[in-house]
Amino acid sequence: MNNSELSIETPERIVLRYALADMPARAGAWFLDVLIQLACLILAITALVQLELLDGIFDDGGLELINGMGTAFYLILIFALKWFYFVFFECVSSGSSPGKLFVGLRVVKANGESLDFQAILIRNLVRAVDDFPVLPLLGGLFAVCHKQRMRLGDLAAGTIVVKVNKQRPRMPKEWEADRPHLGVPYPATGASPVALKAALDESSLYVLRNFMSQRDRLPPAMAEKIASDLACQVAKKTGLERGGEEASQDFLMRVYDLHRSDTGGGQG
Amino acid sequence: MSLTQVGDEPPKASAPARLTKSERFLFERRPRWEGFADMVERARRGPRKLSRAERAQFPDLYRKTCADLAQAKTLKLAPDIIEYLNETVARAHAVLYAVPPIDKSALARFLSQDLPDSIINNAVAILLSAAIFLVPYFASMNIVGRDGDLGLNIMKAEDLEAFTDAYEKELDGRDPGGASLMTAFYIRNNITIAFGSFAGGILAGAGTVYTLVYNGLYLGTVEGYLRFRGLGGHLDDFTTAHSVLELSGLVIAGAAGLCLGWAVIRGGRYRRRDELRRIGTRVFPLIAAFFICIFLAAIIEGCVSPFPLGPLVKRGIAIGSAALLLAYFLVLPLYRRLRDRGGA
Repeated sequence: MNNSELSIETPERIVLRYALADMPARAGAWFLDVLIQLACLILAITALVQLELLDGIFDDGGLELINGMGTAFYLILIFALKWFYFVFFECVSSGSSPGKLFVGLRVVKANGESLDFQAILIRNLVRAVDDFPVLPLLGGLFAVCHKQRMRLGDLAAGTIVVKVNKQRPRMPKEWEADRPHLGVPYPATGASPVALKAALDESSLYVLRNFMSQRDRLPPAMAEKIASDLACQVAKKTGLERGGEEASQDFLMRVYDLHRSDTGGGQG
Repeated sequence: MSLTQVGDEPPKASAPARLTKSERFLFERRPRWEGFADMVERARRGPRKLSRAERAQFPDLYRKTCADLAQAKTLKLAPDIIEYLNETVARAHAVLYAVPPIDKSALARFLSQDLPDSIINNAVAILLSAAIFLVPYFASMNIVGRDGDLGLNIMKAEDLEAFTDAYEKELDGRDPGGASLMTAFYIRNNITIAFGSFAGGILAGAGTVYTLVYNGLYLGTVEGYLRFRGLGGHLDDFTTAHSVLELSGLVIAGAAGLCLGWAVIRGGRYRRRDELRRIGTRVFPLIAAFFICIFLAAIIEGCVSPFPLGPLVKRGIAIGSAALLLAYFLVLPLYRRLRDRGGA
């Protein structure tokens, strides 16, 4: 695992890779979020002044010039924006504040799972230290030094910021472009799984299954020998056509897949 | 959407007979992946965007795609196939393992067990936090109370004068419209202090200790100075009602910060990161506890404390809130423990 990647193992025992968010992306997302918070505040102040619930807040800066209800609302708004803006948005859009959504970032737990409320709350309360005014952007400095780009809040909550593609994953075009045959069904699987089952008796299937599951452990030469014998038998019994130069093992794999696709598992 | 669809179709004569492993893999399973990827994109916008049948199918398709990814890696297929599958599975993983919405039973368990238990479970941190706050508080109050001029060593003269002015008059309910304003002010101010006190714990506890000592000294000095000037009665009249909840909240916030700091310092048998995650679970109910305490205290401080209701009412509120705290955070968990032991 290199430094810009997070590998996590899912409960299905497969390893997923995420690209870690780099610092410019995170700083950009943070800046956007701050801008949005400011915009909310300015909008609210304008509305309050229009409704004459608030006046003169910028004249003397003192509390005595201000109507009680309007200021109360204003104070609560500042409080809510500062502490709960990120909490709210990370809750509703599974780990992405608007700024992160725009840049294409998402917060996940260190084990790759989605955030729960507890982690969201803790990582955002520790912003108080990360945005510490005396040491500007303490969190940013810490994250730059940290191997997995965690700021202190991430450390406390056990969370990591990863990149997400905004677009859904695309099948690479060349999968089709210069291989037109990929657009049509595979030729030699003409027999349906049901027909295949009828053609292959239980003992042949047993041998086939055993071979497929153990061939990796056999010496290559021996595997090839068994495969070619078995392929001959299977081809004879099922009437499936073998491609001219198709390796015996590939052929067996194809038949085996076809067989399994009928038995429902498709895996195993 | 399953493998059989591909195999059931009649062969086309025009197709070449040989395919590479990647091609075959890709070719046979691609329709399933595409169908699944479509579902994932819709599911990302909310589980209701999927039909009932699709929701039932989702985990199975997810597992199959996982298996495909594992197989593609084992067979060392083309990197773009692996990349595509990784991305599809990662997006599906985020949907499948999304946090379930908070349901009633989880909330009920939190309110009836986790939250009340939090104080006893963290008793050491609570006592330590209380000591760190109360020692400077009582020390400065006693010292400044005996000789007011010593208060100047801790606070600026004009600040102390401002407090003296504020408490010179009897309580008169202040100006109308003031209650909502002051409530909002106390909510913002006090909860911000408490949050900061908790967050400071990540600096190996230093931020927490600083906040506790600073607030202890500050409050003790103000109180001592006002008593020295003979204004103790006016002060008590204002502070009695909300004092219990507010100070409890501050101490609990300090305890939460100390837990965090302890996890950073000690690490214990776990990696520091894991220890922090472990402690996060313990600390979460404490955060809820101090938030509730300070929020209620702010409402009392804004809406009750400034009004001349007489000492009886205010002492009643203080004692009542203390009784509630004790009942909820001490009697309830102890009672349940005794009952569980009796039942076992």
